[in-house]
Amino acid sequence: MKLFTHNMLTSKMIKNVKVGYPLKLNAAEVKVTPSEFRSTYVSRMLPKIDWGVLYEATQSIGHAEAIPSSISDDYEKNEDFLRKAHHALFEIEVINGEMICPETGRKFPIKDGIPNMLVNEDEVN
Amino acid sequence: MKLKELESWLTRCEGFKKPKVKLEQYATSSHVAARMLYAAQENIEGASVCDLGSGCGILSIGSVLLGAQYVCGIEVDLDAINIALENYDEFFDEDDEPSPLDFINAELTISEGDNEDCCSRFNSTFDVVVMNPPFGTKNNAGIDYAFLQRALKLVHPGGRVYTLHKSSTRDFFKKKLTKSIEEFGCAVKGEVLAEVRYELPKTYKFHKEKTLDIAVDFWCFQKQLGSDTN
Ligand SMILES: C[S@@+](CC[C@H](N)C(=O)[O-])C[C@H]1O[C@@H](n2cnc3c(N)ncnc32)[C@H](O)[C@@H]1O
Repeated sequence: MKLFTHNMLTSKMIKNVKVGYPLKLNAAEVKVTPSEFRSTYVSRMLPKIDWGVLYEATQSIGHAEAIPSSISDDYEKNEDFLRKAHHALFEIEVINGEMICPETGRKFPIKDGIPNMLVNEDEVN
Repeated sequence: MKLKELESWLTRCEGFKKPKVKLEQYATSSHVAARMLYAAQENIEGASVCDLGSGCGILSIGSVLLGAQYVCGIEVDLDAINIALENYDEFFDEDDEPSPLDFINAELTISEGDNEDCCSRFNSTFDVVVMNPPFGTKNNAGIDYAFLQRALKLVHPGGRVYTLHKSSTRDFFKKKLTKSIEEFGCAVKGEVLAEVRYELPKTYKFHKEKTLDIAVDFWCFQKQLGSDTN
């Protein structure tokens, strides 16, 4: 699971959960695979990203140096920054681990790179 | 990529081993999948693609073959995701090969109303949704339309949804399109790009033939610019 995907997932479907975001990330196994860098694509995606959550995620899975703590103001012109953002969003993958709902503590396992977001009927609204 | 080439690649994709009837698990044939993706090709290359109800992954994998930058398959059934991963390995077997593909094992909320699910933050993010939704033939009438509504939320204004729906619902969909702001929360244009024959596997004992041949429309919907309310 890429950190881009983590940046999007919530536990909002659980009963009484108000925001369900961000999901706390714990990783037992992390893999880095290179992927093609397209600067226009990354700068197009950045407005969708919660940078603070991405930064926190890189910290919590042992890639503390991957990105700066705040987003660059001129990122569209800053290729060095975009490359780092690309690396964090699309190249660092959590293979095994879990995500935790910030409000209920409900755990969502990640196995073989697949996050399991399934919930039981009695957990949802 | 040429259509023939794409189709011959996609023939390598295996379908469901034990299809779950309730989930309407029938795989898109390589013939149909190749034509869908070929029509979407110029919008898929370098783009982000979502496959709703990705099943054994033929549409997700085809999107990767066409150079998508990020592909997200959302599927409720882990058995299907595992087949999709095996299929994927048929194409890209090196472990360090770049993979733009992520699967999420989740159940999309497709009931009426605006119930959020784990994927709602993806709204207005994708360039393209490709899907072959359940047709709604298993006591779940309307699920095909609910999938479409969901897909239109997931694409950004200007984004497109490539999808299959029974031809018998064409007039219904056309009517919905005339009041798209009400129905989808945004202005939407749609057209039927092709009518295809589709073989549904026999699932009822009283079906004499092994398969049921039905007419299916291949639609392209586009969320219009400046009309986003998500
Ligand atoms: C007709 S099959 C298509 C499979 C695959 N996309 C293909 O083209 O071969 C529909 C898929 O949607 C999945 N599905 C049905 N309801 C779902 C839901 N609520 N959330 C996620 N997936 C769902 C089923 O498990 C099935 O794999």
